[in-house]
Amino acid sequence: MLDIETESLWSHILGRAMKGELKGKRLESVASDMVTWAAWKRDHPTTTVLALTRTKHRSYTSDFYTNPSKFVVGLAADGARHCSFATLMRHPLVNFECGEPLVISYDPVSTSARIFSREIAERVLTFEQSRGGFRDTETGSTWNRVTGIATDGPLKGSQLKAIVGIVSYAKVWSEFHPDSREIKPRGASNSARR
Amino acid sequence: MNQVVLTIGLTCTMTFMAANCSCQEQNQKESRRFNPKIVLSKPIRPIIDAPFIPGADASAEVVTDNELVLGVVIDGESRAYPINMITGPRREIVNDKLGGLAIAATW
Repeated sequence: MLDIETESLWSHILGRAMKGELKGKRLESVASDMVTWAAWKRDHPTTTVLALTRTKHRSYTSDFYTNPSKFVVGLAADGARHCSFATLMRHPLVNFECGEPLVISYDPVSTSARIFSREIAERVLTFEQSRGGFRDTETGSTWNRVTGIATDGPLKGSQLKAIVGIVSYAKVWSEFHPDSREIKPRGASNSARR
Repeated sequence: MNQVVLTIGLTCTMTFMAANCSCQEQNQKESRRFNPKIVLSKPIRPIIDAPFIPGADASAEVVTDNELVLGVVIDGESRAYPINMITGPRREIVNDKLGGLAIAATW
């Protein structure tokens, strides 16, 4: 990417200027969702939507649906980590660590993958899948996977911190983060942390 | 990031050369590997005034229910960028303002 004001060059995936006057500066990442239009407008009824024409470039939507293993959701905090969408389709709720205890929640209908911190009120929770969202095994509270807010149970009303996850082609992610470690569900082979 | 608002356009894409250095320091490694390649013959005009419509008004011509979008909420204001509209070098960056924040939706 290039900014018009200084003509510095930026790495899109790293969000950082690599060359030019602003070299080293970072852009603040804003948590976003890659999700179906149906799910987005249901959860955000007052949303606006970009109204350009569709481009002639390959349809990302069909590529994603036919080849989910080509895509990952990644983050780079304490070292880079990534999880394949092929994994998430089989294991939609994965507890893991990346500098801090985190969880990925995947919804196959909307195809959204969201990452939340598992730390709340000075404790660390462990999550499991439940109807409409997920539940923590420590208190049995149920959580809304869109907002990260507990809707029921002892922690009702608490809100998990949303973490920015980057959806990317697996190949591109590994080019920019060659040492990225794959996130696998616990109990799967190779789940021992390296 | 200091308080400068940037307008972002795409005139080149990044490639990494194979990292064949023994250097330990991450920044130096990245600088050496950073090898941007110009893939567009002339700079494109950055997108700064893309049209938006209320989601409720969007017909299937604009976006269908199963098409993927990039969605964001800032300060209560929500917006979706259908990914099939932002693929390709001329569309990959949308300079925008949402909830009072200057943002770039990128693909």
